[in-house]
Amino acid sequence: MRRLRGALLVGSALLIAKLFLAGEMARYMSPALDPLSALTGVLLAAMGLVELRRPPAHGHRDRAHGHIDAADPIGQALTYLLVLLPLVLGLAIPPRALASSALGGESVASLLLSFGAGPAPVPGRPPPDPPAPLTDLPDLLAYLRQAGEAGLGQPVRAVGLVARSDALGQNEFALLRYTVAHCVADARPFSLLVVAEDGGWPTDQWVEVEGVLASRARDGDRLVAIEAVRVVAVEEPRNPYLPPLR
Amino acid sequence: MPFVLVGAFAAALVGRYLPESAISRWMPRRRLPAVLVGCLFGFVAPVCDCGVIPLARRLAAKGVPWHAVVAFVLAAPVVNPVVLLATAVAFQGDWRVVALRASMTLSVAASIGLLTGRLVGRAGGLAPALPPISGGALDLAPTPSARAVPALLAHATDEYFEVIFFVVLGALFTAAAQTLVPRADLTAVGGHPVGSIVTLMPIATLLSICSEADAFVARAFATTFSLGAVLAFMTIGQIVDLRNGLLLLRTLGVELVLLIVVVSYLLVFVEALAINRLVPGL
Repeated sequence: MRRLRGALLVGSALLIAKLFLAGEMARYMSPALDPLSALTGVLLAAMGLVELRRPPAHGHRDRAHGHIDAADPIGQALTYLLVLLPLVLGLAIPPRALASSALGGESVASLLLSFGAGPAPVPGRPPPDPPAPLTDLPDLLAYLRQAGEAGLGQPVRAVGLVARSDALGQNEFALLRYTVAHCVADARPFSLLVVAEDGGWPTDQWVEVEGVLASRARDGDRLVAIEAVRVVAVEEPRNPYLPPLR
Repeated sequence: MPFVLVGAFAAALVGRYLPESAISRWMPRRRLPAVLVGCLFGFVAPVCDCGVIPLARRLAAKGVPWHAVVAFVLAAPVVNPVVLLATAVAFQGDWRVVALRASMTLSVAASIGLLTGRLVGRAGGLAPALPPISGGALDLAPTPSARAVPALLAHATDEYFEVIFFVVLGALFTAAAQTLVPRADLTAVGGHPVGSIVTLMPIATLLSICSEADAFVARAFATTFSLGAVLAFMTIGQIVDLRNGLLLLRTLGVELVLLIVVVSYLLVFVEALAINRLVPGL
């Protein structure tokens, strides 16, 4: 059992190393936690190597030291199986970023960003300038917090996944992204309406949308929209998730 | 995972280097101070809910009164630096959540500790029969310094395999809930001030997530469920959980465990309800 435990620990460390080397860690964990994740890999490797060198355990484990009756063979087998399962899956299957299948049956239309209550923009007045060109969703969201609907007409570029819903029109799709605070377990979706002449992009295709900030009235809300002048397919970003929206 | 490892190493350090004789020497004799010391003892011995019961049994065997032991068992898994820091990290430095979590846990632990003192002390009361305790790491001779690091790693490995089952199981449960349960359904329940609490409390008991990891699971609920419900999840999950239930029964006896279950469920529910009414959400 010591060898199995040691192998599981070393295997877990190897999985972390593989994720870092392949640049895939960001699909599971926020890059802000990279130092902790790396330290975890080192500690797991050290624990695994010590475990492999430990003499075999005889009889049941002492009860005062342990927490649950470690002599329970079924409990032990289940534990090792549960550690082995994500290990095998992680080593065998390339990780994928969360996509529309992770919406839990919720319509992407219900996640569309809308303008909050506030005064309507003054017609004819140009939108305020952002501090820098709006090249992705975090920039756009920061700008929207500052300018609100007064920002309508501002040129914008954003990257995301194409997501569809029956509630959207023929020339519309939702640009879907997930925010992650620490790991994909806390991922939260949000989406932005895109109005494009060529709306026939396949679901879950990563696209870059260039256009201007606009709004669309829908069910009493004023949705934030991008009127696209150009939509192109792009590779999945190195970090497919955004930091949490505040 | 990093925080699970932190907890495993903290428990290993306590297991190897904190002498129980010093612990029992510092314990006050009067009930209220003893309960308060029991409540705050997690700062000295930052064990998670997995490691708290073996240590509690040792404290009781050394003559620490049961009301302090019970307060320690209920408070230490949460009111310790490792778990409070993990909670702060999980909630992105929102110290309001950390303070509310610690307060809820302390209030429940102190209340039940004082009740235990009244009930255990009287004739025919709830006197737990302490099961025999075998020798263990705490009784081992000091490890030579050259072997200290491997011994610590080995101890941490034991701790790790005690908790990892529940961490992976909790992750599977969370992934399944997020993928299979329509978010709109969760939001409908989670937004209700009473329904959200009633829903999350039994889930916490069923999930039995280690206190070093539960804040990260609770964080996933935070955008859907009320603040009171999320705090109730993190509080009751460390007091009444399936994982330690059998060990708790064996240590404290049926009557005392029943008292803990009933009183803690009631107190946590009322406090969570008050938080939903008085404190703005996340």
